[in-house]
Amino acid sequence: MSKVLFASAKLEKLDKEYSLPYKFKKLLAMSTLKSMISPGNYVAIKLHVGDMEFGGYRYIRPLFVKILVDYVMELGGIPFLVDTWGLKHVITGIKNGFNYTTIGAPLIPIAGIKEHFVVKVRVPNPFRIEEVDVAGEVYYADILINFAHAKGHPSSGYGGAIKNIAMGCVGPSTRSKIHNFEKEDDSGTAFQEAMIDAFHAVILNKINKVYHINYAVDIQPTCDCAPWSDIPIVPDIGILASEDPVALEKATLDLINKQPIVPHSIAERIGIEVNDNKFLLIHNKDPYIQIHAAAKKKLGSPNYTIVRI
Amino acid sequence: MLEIKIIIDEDRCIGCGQCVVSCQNNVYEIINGKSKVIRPENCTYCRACIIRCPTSAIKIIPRDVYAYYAKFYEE
Repeated sequence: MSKVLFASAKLEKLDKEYSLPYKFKKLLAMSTLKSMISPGNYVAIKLHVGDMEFGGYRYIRPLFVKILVDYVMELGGIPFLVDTWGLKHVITGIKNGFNYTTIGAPLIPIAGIKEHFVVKVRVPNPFRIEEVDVAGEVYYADILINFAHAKGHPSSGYGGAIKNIAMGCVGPSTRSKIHNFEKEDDSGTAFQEAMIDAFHAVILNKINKVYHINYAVDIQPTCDCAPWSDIPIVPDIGILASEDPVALEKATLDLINKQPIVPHSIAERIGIEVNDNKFLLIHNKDPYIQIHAAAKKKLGSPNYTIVRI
Repeated sequence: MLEIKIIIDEDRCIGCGQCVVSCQNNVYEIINGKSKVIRPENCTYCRACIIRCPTSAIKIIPRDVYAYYAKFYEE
């Protein structure tokens, strides 16, 4: 049974201590990051910094990234933010508020200015992909903090902690390989199994050195890479975190599915209800496939217990 | 199935072939000194060509990446 820490977006009392930024600080203090990070460690924080056409706006708010960066520095780590798509995307991220002035840590391209900086890693017992181009800055980082936005995705139904690493910490050729599986299987199974292979390759040299966080706020129907945003499909949930990515993803998806629908969202238009597998109905791809596949590879456990902050 | 529209700004394109070598799905060819989209159906929207194009001449519109979902936005 894996522990999943949960800071709820709900303000239980009219007091800043009950507001999400303050609860996120408490969550971090309760996390295993303390024992994971040693002074002087290079700590890569992977997040999505928004689309390059500036149409989307529901990515992780910079305030929460600053809280994480401050905590890493408190532990003596050297934090830096990373995202894919090279230097052009870093410039997008800086414009979207992920810059040194607001965050206190540099944002750098995860695999070099044009994404040539990758390390080839063989996947143990692969489902679909035998070799993965792992993004160089993550491969060589001492610690990886996987700060994902939980939301829908057209290729896998849902994108959270697993997808943030699987598609977000690899080079373009691996991204392309994974996307190619959509052409032969539109159920999303092959795509999600390929994601798990990529995920496995990225974390391979980081035993007990990866921490996963799901930002379940602004849970919109599609990915942060899309040049648009829509009304979130369910009310904000909060922030969940665990060193077990499978438990974390299962807990996040279960909570999303237990939520009611937000009026005027696309979920309401489709007729989705409480307890429906919401992203399956929105994208016709069952998002639990990635969880079952990751559990099958023993990358974590789908059995979890939630510890509320 | 992804349906992708790829637009090349020919005024910007210098025919360097970076898109040809960076694309692992053979979408592009250089014809008469300019990049041409020959096999758009092969594109997976990995964005390697966009990232590596030295003159930012490539734009990709992933019309049907959202195919299933897109129908909910039709009147």
